[in-house]
Amino acid sequence: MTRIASVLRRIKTDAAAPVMALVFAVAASSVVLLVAGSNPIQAYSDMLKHASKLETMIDILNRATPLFIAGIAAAIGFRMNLFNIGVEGQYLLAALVAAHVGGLVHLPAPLHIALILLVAMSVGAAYSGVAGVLKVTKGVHEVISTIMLNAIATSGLIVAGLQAWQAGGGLGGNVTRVGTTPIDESGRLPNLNGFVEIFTRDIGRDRELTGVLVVAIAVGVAYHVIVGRSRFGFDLRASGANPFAAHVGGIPPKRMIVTAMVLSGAVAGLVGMTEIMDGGVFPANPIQGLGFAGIAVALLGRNSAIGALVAALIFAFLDISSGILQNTGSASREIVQIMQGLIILAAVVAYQVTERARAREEAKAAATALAAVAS
Amino acid sequence: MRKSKRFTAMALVAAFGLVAAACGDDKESDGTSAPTGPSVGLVFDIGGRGDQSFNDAAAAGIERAKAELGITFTEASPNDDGSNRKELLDLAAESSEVVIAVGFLFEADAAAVGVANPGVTFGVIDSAMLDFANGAVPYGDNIAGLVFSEQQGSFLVGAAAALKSTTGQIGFIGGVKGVGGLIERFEAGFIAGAHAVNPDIEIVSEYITEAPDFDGFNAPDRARDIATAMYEGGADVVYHAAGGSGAGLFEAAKAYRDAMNINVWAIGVDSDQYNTSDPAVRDVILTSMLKRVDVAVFEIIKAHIDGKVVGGPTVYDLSVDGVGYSTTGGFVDDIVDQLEAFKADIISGAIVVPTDPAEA
Amino acid sequence: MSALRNLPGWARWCLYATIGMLVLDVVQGFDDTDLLTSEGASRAMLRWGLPILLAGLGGLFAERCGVVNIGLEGMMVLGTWFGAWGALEFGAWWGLLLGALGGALGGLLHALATVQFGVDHVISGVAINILGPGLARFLSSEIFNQKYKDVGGSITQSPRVPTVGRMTFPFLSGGDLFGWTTPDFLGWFTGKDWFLVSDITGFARGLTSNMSWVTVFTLALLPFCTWLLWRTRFGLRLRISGERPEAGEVQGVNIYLYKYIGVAISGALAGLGGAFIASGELSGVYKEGQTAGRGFIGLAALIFGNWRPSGIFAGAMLFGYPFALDLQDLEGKASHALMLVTAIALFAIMVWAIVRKNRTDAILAGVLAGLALLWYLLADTLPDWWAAILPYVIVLVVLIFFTKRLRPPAAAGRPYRKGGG
Repeated sequence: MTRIASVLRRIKTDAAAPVMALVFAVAASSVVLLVAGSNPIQAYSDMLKHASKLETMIDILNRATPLFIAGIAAAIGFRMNLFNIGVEGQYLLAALVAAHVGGLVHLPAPLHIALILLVAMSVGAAYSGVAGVLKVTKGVHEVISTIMLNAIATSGLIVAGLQAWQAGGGLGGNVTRVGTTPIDESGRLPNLNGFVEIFTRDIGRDRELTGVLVVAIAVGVAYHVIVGRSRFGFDLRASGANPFAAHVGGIPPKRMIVTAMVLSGAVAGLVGMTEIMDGGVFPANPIQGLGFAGIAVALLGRNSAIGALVAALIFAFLDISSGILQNTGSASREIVQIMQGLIILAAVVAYQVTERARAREEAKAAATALAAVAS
Repeated sequence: MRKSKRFTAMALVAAFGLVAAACGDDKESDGTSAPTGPSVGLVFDIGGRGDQSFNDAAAAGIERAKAELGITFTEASPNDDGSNRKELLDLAAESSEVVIAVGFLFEADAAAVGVANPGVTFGVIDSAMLDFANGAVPYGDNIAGLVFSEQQGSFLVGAAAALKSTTGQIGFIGGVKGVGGLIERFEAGFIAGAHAVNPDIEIVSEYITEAPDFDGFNAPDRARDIATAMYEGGADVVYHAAGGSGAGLFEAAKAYRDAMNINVWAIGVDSDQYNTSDPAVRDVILTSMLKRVDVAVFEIIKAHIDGKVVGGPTVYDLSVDGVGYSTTGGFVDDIVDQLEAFKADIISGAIVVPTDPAEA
Repeated sequence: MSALRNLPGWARWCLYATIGMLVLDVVQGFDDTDLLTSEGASRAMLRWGLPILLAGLGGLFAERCGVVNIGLEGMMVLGTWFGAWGALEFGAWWGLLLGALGGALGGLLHALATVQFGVDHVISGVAINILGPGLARFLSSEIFNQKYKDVGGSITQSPRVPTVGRMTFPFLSGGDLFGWTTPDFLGWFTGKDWFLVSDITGFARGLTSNMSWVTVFTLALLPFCTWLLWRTRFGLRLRISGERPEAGEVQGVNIYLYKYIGVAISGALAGLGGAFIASGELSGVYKEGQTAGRGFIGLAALIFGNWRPSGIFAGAMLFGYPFALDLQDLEGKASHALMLVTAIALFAIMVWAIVRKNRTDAILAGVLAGLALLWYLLADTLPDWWAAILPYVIVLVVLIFFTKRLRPPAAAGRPYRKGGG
């Protein structure tokens, strides 16, 4: 009986945080919408009606895929108490080099794809590893080194790479499409429409569910198993929580730092795959900002794979909603960004509040139990 | 701890699901009044309506179409990182007969969505919409590329700069280098035009950033320092193709003119910036290179109504007044005759304006 | 070496500065330019360094009271918007004040989340970095795009922002004093064209003449912040909140209050930095995205400067100098010359490392110096992207060799609960 009660209480406190967060974020956004002269109920219903369509779900998954990978990349660092701001530069640089190498070679499909993924992971790992090595050998704080490395990548290395590797073409008087040499069909991951259509109706029009989703799932599972279940994961978490204690326990902190940065960078290298595997080139206008969004995803998801998944889906849902809000004219698109910020804040505050409530309740329960024993 | 997180996640999803179910079916159709003309979906470039330049020109075109052709329209602009361009096109294609995408960044997405929606007319600003991978054929009969000969318009303002310069030195500030050679065309035309007037004129060119760093379109502070350096170095007319950074050029020109009492000039771009800028700096804006995006938007809608849409590029050049120069403010009134002569030569083909700064 | 160490601090810095000027002076001769030591270069260095300084000082106040502030960028964005709006609505000085208040608003939100609710500091900062630009854009669509639409306002941009006046130091650079034009000593020396002397005075003149009152005000903040944090009771209590909050609590310090104040000041300084960017001193207009990551650079300057105001100032200037130089360098001569300066500096580091018997550093510095020298000799001009990343490279290289035992405040980033121990 008490067991059931405790489970019920548990459910209550567990559900309380996300529900509170959601209620707060929705309420605060509604205020903003009302101030802007929009009807919040109309806006929310437009968003949800839109999201319930199969095609929109594909869009959300396509957007969530790189967000999720970036979130895992950041989470690996966070687990080790490392703040890898550099996911941004790492994924862009990795995508550029991988696209270039992928465009140069001609291989059978599995090898071609594997090569591109490998190059991307290696470049990401190497660039992130620089920050790791600088930290352990020179004591350079990873926040400052990754900020510098981000700028060096986007304003320097990628500019130089694009100039050196861009494939020409086009007509005089028209804009040339700038980007690396297109990757052969064999180097691109096929879309997953066929798989989805087993369960659903046919996907309309030109929506294609990105094949990189498979990579993202693999990354998520690997992260969950390695960090959550393996000896290495234990060491990583232990070293992150208390490097001195872990050191005494035989875990070399320096090696853990470099390993964590390298792993984080390797995963970061995969973020840009949606761009180059689907489009086949690294364009002059790649989608930027995924690295920073990934940090938010990792934080909102509390560094767990499933949490990051939910966070990535929420962010993707909001990103995609900006379209329908404008299309129906029910709200301006800034509201989406404001909601994202509010959700993060609301979620962490709610977590914190319920955690404290639980701690209080546990303390009370322990006191009651103690009192019972004493009497 | 682990269990609780999983539960949290499920609860979140469930909460969303519940709200979705609750709100999912409260309304069926919006029931708008019957329009006389076709419905048009306009998708802006990053920045959206109100950028006083490119996007606003497109907005002006669609407003005119609404007034004169009786169309209805929806508009949208992408997220700041441009991540949802394709989704916006899809949405527009679902509810409109004509979809207009402002900016060549839409090229790949517009091609994909256009092929999937053969019944919808697509107009893409600044892209030829030719499939170069398959021998430069149009992507589809319904997919039109609306391109401009910016180099021709830039030629004329280059000529104006050279005619107005007393120091024999002029400058060009580009926003972002390496974006498909787009900004380079402005530079090439400007140089060629200046050289046509005065072969010995000295031209300093500077780009604020290079792709993929797009800060160069949003950095009035950097444009201002560059422009000031140009003026201090002896240039007295500076032309910009740097979007939102252009405000910095006007600011620098105004400050330099006030401080040194030397009549330096700035040249605007895309729209008539004499009209869109702050009144306090208008007197330094010699002229603006006009790029009539509004005309292109209006005409593609008209072509759709008349059933005359052609796949592939439609070029808006000097001969159809797709590009040009502004005379607001009256600062170029004394040289209009010479500029018109150049314009006639370009239209007749006597002058061919290069698109690559290296050839100018 | 020991003789050097016996010199008082100010004399040592003067000596270093003179040596630095000598190097710049000689090197720029090879490239036939005088930009490196010009009056314009020093003035621009100051202009471009100050927002970074302000962001760095903002980070300082937060971390000194124990709160990590990743949200500086978002607070800076709020500062640009409120700065422009305030200046338009009430006048130039009000713009600075409102910019600071706008930033402080972000700071208070950060304090509410981190201090009140004990939220992870990074997560709250990231949320503010998302909220700031969203809010600024929203406000623009409500105000700049409506009330100011006819005078150049739009959803991404404000009309032209009025600016505060300028001043020139009397006596040093010939400023006015009660209507009397004082002699221009630095200008007189600069005009003489004496080797080194005229270059130093010219450079100094750039730092003392025709400067905006905002600049003067911001520079005055530097000693003020030092005094406030290290010489006052308030500063002591603020720092205790960041070092040993539990000990402070025992002594009766209201840690929460000090954290709130510290983070609010942090936001205000970042906001002031934003207002500076939007002000006539740099942009003269609010433009979406114009902070361009300077909040993050400020954070880097904070770490670079070892959580001390003078160090943050050095970091900000070290960043501002090559950045500003690149903008004025239309012919590419200055950035080419800077390459040689970099090589010389690296050789100096190599010698220093050899004296210190640090073999790995010596080899590393030697190799880098050799590469820089080789590039300098082989290329007549450097690619544009090199100039664009040079500030970042310099900061990174300096950190590699001189990350002395940097010491962050002990409790920075740690959640603190009253009575929690």
